[in-house]
Amino acid sequence: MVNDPFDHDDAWPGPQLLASWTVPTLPSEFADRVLFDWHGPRGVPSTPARERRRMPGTIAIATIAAAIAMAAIVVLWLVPRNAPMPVQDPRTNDDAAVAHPVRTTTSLVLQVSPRDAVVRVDGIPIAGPTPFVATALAVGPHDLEVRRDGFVPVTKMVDVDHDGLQLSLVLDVADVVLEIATDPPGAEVRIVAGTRELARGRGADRFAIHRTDGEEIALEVTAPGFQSRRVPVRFSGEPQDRIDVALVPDLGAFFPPAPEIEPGSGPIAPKFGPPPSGRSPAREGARKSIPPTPFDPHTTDLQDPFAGKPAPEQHAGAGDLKNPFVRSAPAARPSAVLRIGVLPGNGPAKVYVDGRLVGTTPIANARVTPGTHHVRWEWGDGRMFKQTITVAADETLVVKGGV
Amino acid sequence: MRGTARDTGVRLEPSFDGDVLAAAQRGDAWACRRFVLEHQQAVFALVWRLLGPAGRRGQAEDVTQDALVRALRALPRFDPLGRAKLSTWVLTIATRTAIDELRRRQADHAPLEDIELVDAERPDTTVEQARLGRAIADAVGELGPEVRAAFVLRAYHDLSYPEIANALGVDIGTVKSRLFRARQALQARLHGGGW
Repeated sequence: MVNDPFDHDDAWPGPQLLASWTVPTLPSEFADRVLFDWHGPRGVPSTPARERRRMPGTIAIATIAAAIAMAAIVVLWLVPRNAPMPVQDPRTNDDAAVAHPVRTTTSLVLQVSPRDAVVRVDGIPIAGPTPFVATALAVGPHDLEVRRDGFVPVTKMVDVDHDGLQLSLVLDVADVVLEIATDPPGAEVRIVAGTRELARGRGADRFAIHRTDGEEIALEVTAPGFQSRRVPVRFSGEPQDRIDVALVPDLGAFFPPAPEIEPGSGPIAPKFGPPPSGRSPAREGARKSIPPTPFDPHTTDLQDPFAGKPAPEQHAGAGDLKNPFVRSAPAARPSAVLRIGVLPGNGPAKVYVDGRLVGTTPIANARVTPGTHHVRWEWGDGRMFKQTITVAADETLVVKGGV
Repeated sequence: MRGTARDTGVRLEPSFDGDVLAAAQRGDAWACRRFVLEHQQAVFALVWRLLGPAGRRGQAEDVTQDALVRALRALPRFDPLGRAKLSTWVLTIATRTAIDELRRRQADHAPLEDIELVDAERPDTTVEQARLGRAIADAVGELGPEVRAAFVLRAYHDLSYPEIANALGVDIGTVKSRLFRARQALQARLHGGGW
């Protein structure tokens, strides 16, 4: 007998002897039990197995009794009273007699750009690159996640039926330079994601933004004398995007300068629309008495239209402006209304009155000073149509352009 | 997140590499599943051999489950660049969990273990092997929990003396002493039984 612990045979017992003491294999669902125990079904920590083992005896007995009672009720309810007693197949044991639902499986095929993105289905990575194929999926909804550095990730739920599903996904570039052209030029631009401001600047600026998953990005464009606009941004997915935003004048405060009428030219009836009847010389004379509205978007003290602050005090000085974002009370001065459209066969057009953009047709209520005005229609394909009209005070004139 | 590897049948990679470990440490569900699948049988074998000889085989699955949950909770603190291998670290947690369980009063548990003894005897094992295995189990069962743990970790999980010392919280000399006593007792028991 060896008493020195350093001298004993460390190799004993040998592998054959050790191998005779076998260990059963864990049931296949054991990992599920561990993960459930760890995190619960929806991430809520559940009672550990040890804690469950220590349940007070009364609770355990009550639980077992309740389970037996429930099982008995279910059996009595399911078995018709006069039906013969079921005969169990002697070849089956109790476990095998339990009905298991038939599992149907399907597949999901994904074409992804960029092709080396990381694709996960229900959190499990699928070997790539594209096409990514997940086989033996259970029929039904699955969580799909596609990620790659530098691109906006896509997470969505897809419903895969028995026939399988084929999808194509193109990830958008995450870092985008937005070139924003505003009309009028130099309008104030804010780029927002929800209520969070991503960037601020002016029209014609370039804005570098970083996109993340699920964010709705919009532009807020403001300029004095124009109605502010909030425009959702539709990205092309490319690293650069250009967006044109045209503002509509705030016509409640819009009194463009009356153009000079050349001697002898006289008022020109609109080419289209009702005849300019009912105009009096007195009304004709009124147009020249109205001073032009000063406009300088860069020196105007703008009020944030989204903050809902009250309009600043009005001053009589020529350089001061009323708050352009609060519609003014109707002017006491004489005015006329233009309703501007297009002739049949012509698409929507941008309309300029005396050189200022008033909006895109149809324009229902463009208030102008009585007198002669130059109206210009411009279409996206480069076509243009011009017309000079004369309108009297309090008159509503319908003008339609087109070629 | 619905669906699991078992539900979806999506194949898992065979190795548990650094990326998977990092994902498991972040708590990614798929990686944690991989972690459990990777280690569950070794942990169960250890726990089975520590609890079984004490007549508490029926608790082996529960204790294995507790050990793996403990490991998952502690996983973010595991240092992959540290001295311990991941498998050794997991076995250390399992050893301590099992010994804690063995130290609990036997009266807390229902004496159903003997009914399940046949579970260990797989159909492919010969009667002779089964008897030998039972003899070893009985012999190991006569060892105290700490001695038994040292023997099982060394003989069945190939841990080094320092690793066993770390797992049991003792010095290396104590490990060697325990292993010596374990082998001495086993030899006496097995030789006495005609093995």
